[in-house]
Amino acid sequence: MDLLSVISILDAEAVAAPPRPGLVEISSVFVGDLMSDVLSHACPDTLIVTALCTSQPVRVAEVVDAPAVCFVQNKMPQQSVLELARSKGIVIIVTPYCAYRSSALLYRAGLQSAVRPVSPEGYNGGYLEI
Amino acid sequence: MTTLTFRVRGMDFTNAGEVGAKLKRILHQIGFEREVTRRAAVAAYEMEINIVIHAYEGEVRVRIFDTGVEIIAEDRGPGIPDIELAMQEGYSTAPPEVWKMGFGAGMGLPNIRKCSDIFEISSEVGKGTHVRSVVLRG
Repeated sequence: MDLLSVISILDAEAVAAPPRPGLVEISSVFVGDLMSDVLSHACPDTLIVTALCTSQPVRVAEVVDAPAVCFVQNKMPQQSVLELARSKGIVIIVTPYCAYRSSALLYRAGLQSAVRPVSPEGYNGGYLEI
Repeated sequence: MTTLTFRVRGMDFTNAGEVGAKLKRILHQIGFEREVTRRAAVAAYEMEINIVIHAYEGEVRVRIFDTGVEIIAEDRGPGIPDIELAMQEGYSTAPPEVWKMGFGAGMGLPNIRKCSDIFEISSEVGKGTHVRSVVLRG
């Protein structure tokens, strides 16, 4: 799914974005506020959804090649965070929705969890058959 | 072989995360595979954050070989009394004030081990901790 679709689904505002957000591809989502958890699970093409409105999600996104960070509940990052994101080419979007609702909307739209299977037969990559 | 040394100060949350990001950029520039680069960058990030949270000061030293990356973190700090416990996922002694900054998940050392082909840790209570991670190519 391209980032423009994600922005539309979440009624979000892109506060640090590339000139052509339609070219940014998102294939999975990780929701969390603890950066080590994000590092464990996020991968290239993961959207990081968090309430932690600091520079750390941006730094972690860079480390794992995640293209975008979504701050929930209209949490607006400080200018220094936006500048850091722009310098590293990380997209930041801000949604009015909480993490729970954001997850539900993205899940319903077909995006999978970034959490990988614990065992080959025990877990199917976070995509629930409902 | 390329050698890099990063000095890290305890409780410096402003710059925390730069080591992993810098290492990632360098490995990417010299053509390391994406997955090897990611694993090395995650290990370096976690090592730096551990020093920031738990130690007074420390160093992250990186040696880049054709065959892989060696990352060593050495700090001056309180040390780890029970390394086996510290290696358990979810176990954390991080103070509550760092939780709101996004740290203290108890995944730092386990993440480093997961990313490493060779992982070593030693610690002396009251002196500091030494962590070595080797990430190999291919």
